[in-house]
Amino acid sequence: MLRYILKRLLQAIPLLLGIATITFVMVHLAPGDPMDMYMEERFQRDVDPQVIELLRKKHGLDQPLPVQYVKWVGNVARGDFGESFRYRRPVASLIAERVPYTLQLAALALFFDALIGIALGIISAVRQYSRTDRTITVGSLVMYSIPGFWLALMLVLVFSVNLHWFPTSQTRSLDYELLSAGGKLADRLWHLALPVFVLGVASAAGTARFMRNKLLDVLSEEYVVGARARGLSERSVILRHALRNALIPIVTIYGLALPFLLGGAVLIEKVFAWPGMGLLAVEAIGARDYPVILATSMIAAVLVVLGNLLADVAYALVDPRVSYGGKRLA
Amino acid sequence: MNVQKIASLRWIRRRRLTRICAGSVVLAAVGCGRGSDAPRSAPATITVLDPTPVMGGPGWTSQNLVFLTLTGRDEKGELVGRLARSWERSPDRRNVTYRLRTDIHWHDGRPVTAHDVAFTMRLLAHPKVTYLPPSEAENVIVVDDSTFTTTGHPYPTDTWIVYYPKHLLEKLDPAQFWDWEFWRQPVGNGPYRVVRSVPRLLMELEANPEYFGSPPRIERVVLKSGETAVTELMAGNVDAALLYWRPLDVFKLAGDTRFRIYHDFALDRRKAVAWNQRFEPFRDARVRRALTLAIDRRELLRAMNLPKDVPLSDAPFSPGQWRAGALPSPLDYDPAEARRLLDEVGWREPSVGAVRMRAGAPLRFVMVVENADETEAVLVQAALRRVGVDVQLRVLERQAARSRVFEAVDFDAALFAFCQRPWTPCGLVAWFGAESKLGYRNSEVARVLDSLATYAYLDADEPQALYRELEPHFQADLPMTFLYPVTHFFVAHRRVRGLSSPHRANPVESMEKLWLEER
Repeated sequence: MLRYILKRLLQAIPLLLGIATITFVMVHLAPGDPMDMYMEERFQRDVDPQVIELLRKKHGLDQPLPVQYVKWVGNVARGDFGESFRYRRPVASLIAERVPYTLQLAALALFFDALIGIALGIISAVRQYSRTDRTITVGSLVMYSIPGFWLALMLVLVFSVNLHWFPTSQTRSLDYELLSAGGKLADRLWHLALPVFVLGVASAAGTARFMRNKLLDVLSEEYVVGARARGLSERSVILRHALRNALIPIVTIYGLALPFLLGGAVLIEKVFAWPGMGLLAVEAIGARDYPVILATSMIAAVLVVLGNLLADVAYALVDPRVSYGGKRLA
Repeated sequence: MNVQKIASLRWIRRRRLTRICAGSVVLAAVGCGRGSDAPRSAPATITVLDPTPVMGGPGWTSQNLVFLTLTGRDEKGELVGRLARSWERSPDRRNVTYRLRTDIHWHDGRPVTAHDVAFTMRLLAHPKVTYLPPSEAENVIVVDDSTFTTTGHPYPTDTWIVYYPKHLLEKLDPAQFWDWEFWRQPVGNGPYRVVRSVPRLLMELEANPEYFGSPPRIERVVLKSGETAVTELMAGNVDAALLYWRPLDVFKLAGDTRFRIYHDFALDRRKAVAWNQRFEPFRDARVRRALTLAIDRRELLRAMNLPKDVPLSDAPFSPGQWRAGALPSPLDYDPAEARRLLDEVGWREPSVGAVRMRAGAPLRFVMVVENADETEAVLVQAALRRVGVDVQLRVLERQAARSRVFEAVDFDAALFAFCQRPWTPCGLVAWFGAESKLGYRNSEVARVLDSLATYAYLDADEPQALYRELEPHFQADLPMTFLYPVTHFFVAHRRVRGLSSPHRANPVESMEKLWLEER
C-alpha cells in the first residue's frame, strides 16, 4: 500500500505541473490589466501612471510571459507564492489566514452531511415505501434542488434579520474578545450554524438518497437473509452486517467531497461574509490578482489529487476484497 | 405485538426523548453563552459597516478618523484647512507654501510639524511603498516647524493624503510598510484614536479629547468589516453602511422609515456613451446630436432611482462650476428632432418602426458595456430603437470591458464611467485631445485641454474659464453623450444626525460633525 501511495504521489507531480502551466497561461491571457484595480472607484482617486508602471515592473509584469512563468515556478518550488497585487502582502500569509476558516466550514459541513445524510438514508431504507420514506425522499430531492445561495439568503432573512436567532455574518461577535473560553466556543458555533447547515444540507440530501439505494441493495443480499434467519435482531442485521458494506462507496465519495465543498463554499462565504479561501479566490479573479489566483488554483488542484488518493486508500481499507500492489490488507 | 416488543419500543421512545432534551439543553447553552453583535448600549456609539478589510496596511476608512489631511471640504463643498491653517501659491503657480496649525498634536502628545509632512511624502514615494511616484519624494521643503513649500504633492485639493508621525515611523523598514504593526493601533492626530483592532472583524475607536477642534459628539465608533450591508442594517447590527451602493440596491431600503439615504457625486467620473468616430456613421456631428436627443436623460435618472439633483451637462465641468450652479443646460429630450436630423443625413426608415437604412446598409452598431452598467445600456438601447437605430449590446465582465474600451478602443460605441480629469490616462486629454482615442479632431479643444492639464491638482476649481471655453465645442460636436456623474449612496439609521446630501453624505468622512439621537 505504501508503495502504491508513493507511486500515486509521484504521478501527481507532472499532473500538478501541467495544471500550473495551463492555469498560468489562461490567467495571463484573460483580458484585463491587473494594475487596473488601482483605478478602482473605491480608492476615490486616480493613481499616478508612474506608480502603475513602477508596480508593473515590481511584479514582473513587464517581462515576457515565459520569463514570468519560469520565475513563478521557481518561486513556488521554494514555497514563495509571491505578493498579492491587491493586498500587497505575501500570498502565503493571506492564504494561511483564510484556510482555517474554510476548513472549519468544510469539515463541519462534512460532519453534518455524514451524520444527517447517513441516518436519513438508513431510516428511509429500513422503512421503505412508508410515509417516513416518502417524506425523506421528497425532502431530500427538494433540499438537493434548492440553490445554496438562495437558501442562505432566506435563512439569513428569516432567522437573522427577522427573528435575531442567528448572526447575519462574520465568524464571531464584536465582543468576542471579552467572552470566556466557553463563551468563545459557543460564539463560534453560533456563527457557524447557518453556513454549515446551508453547505451541508445539499450534500446530506444527496448522501441520504445514495445511502438508501445502497442499503436496499445490500439488504437483499443472501448473507443478510441468512443473518435474519439465524435470529439476529433487525438492529444488529442493519447496523453490524448491512451498513458496513453499504458504507463502502460513501467513504470513497467523501474522499472526493472536500475539494467540492471548498468550491461550493464560495457563495456561502459571500452571503455570510465568511473570510474563507473561496471568497479570496473569487475576489482575486475579479481583480486579476494573478499571484492569488494561481496560488488558490494550485491548492485546489492539490486537494483534488489528495482527495482522489484518499478515496482510493479508504476504499482499500474498508473493503478487504480490494488490494493495491497485489497484497490484501487483511 | 408481543410484550417484549412493546417494552423495547417504549425504551426506544424514552431514549429518543432523552436525546432530544439533551440536544435542546446544549443548543440553549450555546445560545446563551455566545456574544452579541448588537450596537452597544451606550447612546454615543455608532457602528459602521466597512467593506475595506481591516487587515494589514493602513485601513483606508479608519485613516479618515485617526489622521488628518491638510485640507477638507465643508458642508457646502468649499475647501477648508484641517492640518493647514492657510496656503498660498507663488505668482508663477509653480509652488505652494503651507502654514500648519500649531495646536494639533499626535495622540501621544508630540506636536505635528512640517517635518511629519515631509517624512510622509518621502515614505509614500519610497520605491518599496510605491504609493506616489519617486519624483515626489523631495518636493516638500521644510521652512520651519510649521511651514513648508512644495512643487508637487500635496496639492490644496488633496483631501485624501494623511500624514504620519515621523518620530514613530522613521526607523521602521519601508519594505514592510504594508505589514507594520503600527497599523493595528496607529497613533494619529485626528478626531478619533484606536482602542482595539481585530483583523478582518473590527476596529473600535474613541473620541480624542485633545482634538484641536471641538471633541466629536459621538464618543465611540466601531468599524465592522463586511459587505452584507442590507442584512446588517435590517438586522439592526450597524447604524450605517459604507458600501458604494448601486441605485437599485438602495431602492430596497428606500421605503424603510428606519433609514435615511444620502448621496454624493463623484464629479470626476461621469457615465457617458462614447461614439467612436472610426465607425463611419458617427463621423457626422448631426448623427451624434440625433442620438443624444433621442435619449431622455431625466427619465434615465428616474429609471435608475437616482436623485433629482444629479447635474446634467453636455460638456465637461469643474466642481466649482457645479457648486456655483453655473452648468450649461443640457440638450432636452427631443425624439422628433432626432428623427428629423437622421432623415436629413440620409438615414431613413423604410417603414414605420423599421431600422433606418442608407445606401442599403442599416444603422446598426455594437455598444460595449460592462456588466454593472447593463441596466443603463438596455434603457439607452430601447430609447435609440424608438428612433429607428438598432443597438446590439456586448456585455462584458468588468476587466474585459475596460481592456476593450480603454486599451484596445475596440468598439463602435461604449457606455462607461469616464474620468473627467484632464491629466489622467482615462481622462479628457486621452479622449478629446490631439491624439483622441475616439478619432475626434478639434484643435481648439485640444489646445484648451493642454492648458487644463497643466493646472493638475493645484485647484480644480480655478480654471473655470477654461471649462467654459470648452462648452460651445462640446455642445456643437457631442463626441460623447454625457449621462450623469457616478453617484454614491450611503445609508444610515435615522438616529444618525448631521449627514446631508451631497457634501456631507459619507458618515466616516463627516464623523466629527455627527451626533446620535437617543434610541
